[in-house]
Amino acid sequence: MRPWLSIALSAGALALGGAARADVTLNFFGDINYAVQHETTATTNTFQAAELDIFASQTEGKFSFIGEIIVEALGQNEFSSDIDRLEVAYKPTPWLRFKAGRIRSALGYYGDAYQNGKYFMTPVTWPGMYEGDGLDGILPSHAIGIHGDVAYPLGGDHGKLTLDVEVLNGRGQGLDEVTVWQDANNSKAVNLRLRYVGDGGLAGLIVGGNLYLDDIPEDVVEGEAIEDAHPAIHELMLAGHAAYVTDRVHAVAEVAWFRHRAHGSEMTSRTVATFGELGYSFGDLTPYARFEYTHFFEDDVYFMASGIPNQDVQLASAGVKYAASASVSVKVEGAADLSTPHRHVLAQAAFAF
Amino acid sequence: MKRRPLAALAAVLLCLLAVSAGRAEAGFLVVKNAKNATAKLNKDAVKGVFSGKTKTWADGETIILVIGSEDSPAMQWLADSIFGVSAKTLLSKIKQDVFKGDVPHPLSANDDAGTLKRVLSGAGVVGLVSDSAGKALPAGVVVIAVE
Repeated sequence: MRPWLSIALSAGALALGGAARADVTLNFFGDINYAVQHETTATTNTFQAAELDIFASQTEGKFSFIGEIIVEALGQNEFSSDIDRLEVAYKPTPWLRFKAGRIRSALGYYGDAYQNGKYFMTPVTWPGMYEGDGLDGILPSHAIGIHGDVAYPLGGDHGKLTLDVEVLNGRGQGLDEVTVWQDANNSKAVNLRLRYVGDGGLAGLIVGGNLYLDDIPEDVVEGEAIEDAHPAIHELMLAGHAAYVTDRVHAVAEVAWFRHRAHGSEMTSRTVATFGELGYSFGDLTPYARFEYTHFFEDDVYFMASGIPNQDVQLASAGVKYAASASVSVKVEGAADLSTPHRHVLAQAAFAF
Repeated sequence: MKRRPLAALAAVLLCLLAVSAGRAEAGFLVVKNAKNATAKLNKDAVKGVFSGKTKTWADGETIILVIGSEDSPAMQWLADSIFGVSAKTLLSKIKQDVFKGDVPHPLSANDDAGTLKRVLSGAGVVGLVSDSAGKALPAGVVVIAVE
């Protein structure tokens, strides 16, 4: 089906829901950018209007629904549509919730804090471990399966402990493949996230960690270039995150460590990715800075086959966000990679209507 | 004419106090559907309801907010008097929680009549109306006392 036709049909289905039910509302999120990028010898500049997010939600008693269609041109001059979230949730008590469908994995802080709404983010871009420049990041942040989360209040203003448990189709043959229809193997991924969520004097504080286990299907196609292929791989990911986000302060740090081992082999490849970012709001202006570091201890055939350059990243960026209204923010950011000649300046108008 | 700076300053201060007092009196009331048994809330509980931290009423009914746009008087009063932030900041936070799927999509109303109509539409719905509208509430809508 042509992308625009499928978008029209999908949006039409959501809008029909809106007509039939006065309390279903469509929201629109997106961003428009101007990017100046410098690589080894060349400097380029371009305008980008590459993403529109159409979001609908509905709650009926203990059940709720979220449908989110994203139309984007990620790394190319051609739009494609994607159902980014399609989830039904059941919340039998205030401390227990189940979800099923296509969801954003409960990974780290960024994994489900902002979804696709760059308007809500302080920096212009996702941390590279979640989404790179025209590439999906190395974290498995999109997933299909079931999710359960439980909260255990610690009493008074002492906050709560939360546990997220997910059983998912897991990764596809490449980073950009989300197994919405057919899991390429019968193994299911398991994701656990345990975190402390502060309250009272610690309101805004979140500290937690993830354990993610998966079995990545092989990608070997006869006639395909060897650099695009990889064997079946066992994946272990351990991750930690800490965030302190209030009306004024924005501080987030995350780290994820991956170990990939090919089936029938003791050879492993390890990767670590981390970032820290800090911002402080002066009224509507929030200056911020971020540092990202990714290190590949060994060549990782899965990441390389998915187009991730096998080179370390040490990206330092700084910028300012201006909250123009409750629906529009304007941001400007400059960044330099300390290990490569890469430099960029990005200007962004992000909206959430 | 002989200038009297102190007297002039006192007059200006009195005017400012009068304006300030007038603003404080122009308040809003928290109103709910009469099917909801909650009779009173303290200020922190109101904050919990409108921030999305509290997601259900005592009887288990899901809380549905009625909120206005950034420049609606009720939204400005809520943001300023209850949360101590700008309406822009509060609305942005509510939108983010809705987008995350943490809270139900709020109902929209920018005036008292719209808010009352929305509050009547469901047992868990809660909103804000002006003091003047609070004096003549329709059947099915009652005020939650804020302590």
